[in-house]
Amino acid sequence: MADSASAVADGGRDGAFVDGVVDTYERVAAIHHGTPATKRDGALELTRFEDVVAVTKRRDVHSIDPDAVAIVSMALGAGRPLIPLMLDGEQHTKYRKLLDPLFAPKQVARLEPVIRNLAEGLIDAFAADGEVDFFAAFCEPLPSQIFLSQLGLPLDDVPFLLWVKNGIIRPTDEEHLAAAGPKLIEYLDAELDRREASGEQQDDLIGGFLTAEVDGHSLTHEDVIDITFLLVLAGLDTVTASLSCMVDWLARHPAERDRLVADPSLLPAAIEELMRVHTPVVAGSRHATVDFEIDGVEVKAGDEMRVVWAAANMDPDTFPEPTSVDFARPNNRHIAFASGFHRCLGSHLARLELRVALEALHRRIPDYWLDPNRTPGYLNTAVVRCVDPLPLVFTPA
Amino acid sequence: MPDQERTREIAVDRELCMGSGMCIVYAPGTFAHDEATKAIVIDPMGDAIDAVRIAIEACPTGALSLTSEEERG
Repeated sequence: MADSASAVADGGRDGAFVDGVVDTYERVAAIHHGTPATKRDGALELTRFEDVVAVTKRRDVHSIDPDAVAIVSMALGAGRPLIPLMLDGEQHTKYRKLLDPLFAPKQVARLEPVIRNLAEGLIDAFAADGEVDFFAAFCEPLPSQIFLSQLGLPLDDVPFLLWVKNGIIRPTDEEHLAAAGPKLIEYLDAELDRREASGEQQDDLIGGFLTAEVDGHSLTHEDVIDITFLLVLAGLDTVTASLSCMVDWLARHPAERDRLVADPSLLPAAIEELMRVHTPVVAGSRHATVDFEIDGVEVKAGDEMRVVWAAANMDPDTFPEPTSVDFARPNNRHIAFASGFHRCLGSHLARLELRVALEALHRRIPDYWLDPNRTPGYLNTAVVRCVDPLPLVFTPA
Repeated sequence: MPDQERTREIAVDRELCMGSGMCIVYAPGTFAHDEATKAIVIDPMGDAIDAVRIAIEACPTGALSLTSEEERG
């Protein structure tokens, strides 16, 4: 659930992120042999870890050009800024102070048994088969069902919401892209009307938004839609994508996987390291509101920047031997959840889902590998990197 | 490398804190959330200094700071 500005279809230089390439580590690490700040497609692209952290912590660097909000969000929503992604400064902070406590560690920890039950149920459905498209059977349903039940939307609507989310992030064609945003607005609008008509307050996130106050005012319908829209996108895609990258990697590295199967206490650190090397959300956009200099490059007020999280996480100055996957890497400061004010709102939920999912998988299906007869889909140039489909074979449980 | 510092003071700006919980991820022995989902310091020496520094760096709003520290070694 990255609260990071709109990512880019081609998140790296010189073909660092190419569809169909299994491990992009060497390519991404090679970015650091070049200049740290380069103008590309009208935006200054920042790849050094320290630069990305410094820029995203500046109050005078915003997530988006206010003049561009209408254009950008027409594709994504109602022509209004998505909340809190496209807000900056005080407005942004007000909403984050409302939203962050809802996703704080203590809050999400209560979901652990719910996530475990769902994970086990999904595995039960294919455990006897010995083969599965793990993306469709597990990576996609797990986070989306958890998230929709948290929001308070019916699970029957999962297919529709996945269609919307894919239309915005990985559209099949122009038509899909054009239809997705408006359909979601229409759907959320109807949901809010239904709740208002029923008059009863539901104990879920949307119910919470409807009764919340910012600056002493209730949120408008539009506000609630703009928040929920973003949460649907974030909650239905990023954990799915991360999980598919991780399970694909573990399927190809049985010795490392066996270590995690034997000792699940290694999982949290392993998840951090796999987040670092796969960084599903490749890059974010930032917008300068003042002139400043970085790496000897002049940035002018009004300039657009692209902060490449995936490259920053492969910066050898911050991560020695960045291309080696080391579950015991000390002080892993990766910024796969972004850095600065717009740092991911849902990272605690994401980490919990990833850990519980891998624990459940390894308990039931400790040996899995890529199906030699089917090809996994390495979607590296998508806004969010994932492996779809992810065909696995395993010893039937 | 073991920590060798003897004192450490960590300040939390409650006005800036928005309850992201990032500090709790990186330095769970040092930070917790109070009832208002604001960061509090439960034990300034609860984690290695590197972990505390990463927690401070990871705070999205810059609400945390190391205000005093005597390092040896």
